[in-house]
Amino acid sequence: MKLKIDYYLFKVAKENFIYLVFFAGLILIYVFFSLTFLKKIADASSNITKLTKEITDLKKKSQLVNYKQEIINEGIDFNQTNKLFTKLIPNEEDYFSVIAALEKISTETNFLIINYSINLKSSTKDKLSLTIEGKGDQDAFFKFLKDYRYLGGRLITVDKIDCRTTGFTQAKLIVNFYSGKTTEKNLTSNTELTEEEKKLIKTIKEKVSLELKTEEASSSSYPVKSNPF
Amino acid sequence: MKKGINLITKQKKYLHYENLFKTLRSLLLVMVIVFFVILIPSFLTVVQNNKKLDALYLEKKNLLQYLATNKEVEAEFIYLRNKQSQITKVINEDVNFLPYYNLLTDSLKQASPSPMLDAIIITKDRTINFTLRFDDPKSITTFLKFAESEGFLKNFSQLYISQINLESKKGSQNYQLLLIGKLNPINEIKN
Repeated sequence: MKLKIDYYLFKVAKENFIYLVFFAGLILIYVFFSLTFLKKIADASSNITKLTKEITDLKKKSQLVNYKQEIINEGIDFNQTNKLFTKLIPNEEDYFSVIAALEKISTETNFLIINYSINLKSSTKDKLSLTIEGKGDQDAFFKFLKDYRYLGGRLITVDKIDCRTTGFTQAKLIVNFYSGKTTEKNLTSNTELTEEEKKLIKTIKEKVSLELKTEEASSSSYPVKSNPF
Repeated sequence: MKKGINLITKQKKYLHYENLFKTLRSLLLVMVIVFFVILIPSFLTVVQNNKKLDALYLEKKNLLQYLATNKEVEAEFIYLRNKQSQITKVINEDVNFLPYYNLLTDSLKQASPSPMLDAIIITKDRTINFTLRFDDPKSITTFLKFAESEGFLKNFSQLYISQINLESKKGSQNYQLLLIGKLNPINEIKN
């Protein structure tokens, strides 16, 4: 079969050849744009959002360095506060510090602790429950009640107090000592301390003495040879 | 031989093609306008975004370097926060004896005649168990009237008499009331 050429169409197409080429070129550009530019714009926008968030978090963390200095001026040092907190709630239970704490409270308040026993049932891995018995006058007992939380150098809470108020001769208390690590690894809460939190830290600082053993203090004053030969 | 188109016989068909290409030219014009209106600003946006991304990557790198040199500060603060929340949680479990004791003694002083507080037990869930001593049986009746007043009862969410002792031995009299109840939280009482 012989192919019939449409001369009308051929003539008109020939006259508009340049437009046809231009049209095809633009179509290609549009396709290219749709495939690359739009994807690039979308990717860039999501990356910008992600990076901005990351930078905001990093800035928040980097502000801590300035905040550390700022809070030192208010009398709170991170490092020292951590030592105090660890003394109050050690990462591992130290029974000697429990006894030392009871002794210290007893001496400082004049409320004499005459007996104590461990409550195995209510003690847990992170909580040591003791029943203590003490005696002393009203002033001693009140001083004990005011200061027992931090005075011994270990954080103490009381579950129950049973006392004869006439003469305040004797009282029986169920007290708890705490230990254990916290598992939180990231900074989730607010990066700045609230006024209430600062107040708590200052109260603890006032009540708990921290015997800091600096390296200079612990190092010997005489020359030491590492190799005896 | 030169070929020609007979426009007299095929004019309609020719005009149809002419119109078709006229539409194509108009469409092309629209596409060019769209190209300038959309494509060029989009291209500029891509360039701008790339610049912004580079700046952000640089800022992130600098911040990470700064944090790497001061990493112990973050560690110290995380530790501080953890220990502090541990302490706050623990403190909330305390019996908080003294304020409740003072509250009770102050309330008892308002009774006339005011009884003697003989013994007291307070637990961390604010359960209170206290013994009051009186000089005579009449004082007990007077106190019971006072105990029912709103001023005294506002301190407790529940309160009942567990025991009444009316012992009278030679030379000594022992009139006692043993009350058991549950104290309201101290901040609620103050409000």
